[in-house]
Amino acid sequence: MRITPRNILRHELIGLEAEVIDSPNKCLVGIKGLILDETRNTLLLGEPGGSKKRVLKHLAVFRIKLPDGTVVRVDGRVLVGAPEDRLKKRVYRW
Amino acid sequence: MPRRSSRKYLRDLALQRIKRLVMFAEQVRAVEPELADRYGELALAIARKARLHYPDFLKARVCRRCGAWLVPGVTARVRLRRRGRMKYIAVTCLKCGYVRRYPLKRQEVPPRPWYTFYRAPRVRDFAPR
Repeated sequence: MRITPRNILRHELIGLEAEVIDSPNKCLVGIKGLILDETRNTLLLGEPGGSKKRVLKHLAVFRIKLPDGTVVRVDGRVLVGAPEDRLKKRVYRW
Repeated sequence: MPRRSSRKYLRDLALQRIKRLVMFAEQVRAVEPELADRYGELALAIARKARLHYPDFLKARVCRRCGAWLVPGVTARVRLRRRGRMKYIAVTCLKCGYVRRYPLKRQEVPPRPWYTFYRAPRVRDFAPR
């Protein structure tokens, strides 16, 4: 199954390109790079072997580029959850 | 959604995620071995959550105990050992010391998960069981 905007919330985020496009903390806006690691509450954005920034999910709105080229705007609040828990996560409205 | 199809969907999703993690671990390990270990750990966690058997391509490359990415000669020691008449391949994780043993000559055709070290992943490896 490919990654689509429909299943992005339950699919793997690691390895996708992302950018923070909005946040109450303006210092976070503009951080971009590959998603290198994911924990329950944070994403690690950056380059392998280069600079990295850990961003709190619930404080950011991300623009995520999927492998097929489509770009999705995802509110970080619906991404909160450990990567293996998101597999079964249900989101009723957002 | 009917229960059965949702289970199938979940397994397929989990396999795809594991496959991606394995792919990225392979790419990133030369630059940052810690990240590759982290991806191994996540891949195991996802397989457990979806109640999958660990797929062979994952078993051969990731330490069962700590999730470390195993590269023969670098992060894993591969030895042929014998104890009495029994021969086995011992794969030692150099991070946590866990030894995985693959007995030889127990069956007519022994399962050979270490074969995944030597060949490119095939489509069959990624098919759900």
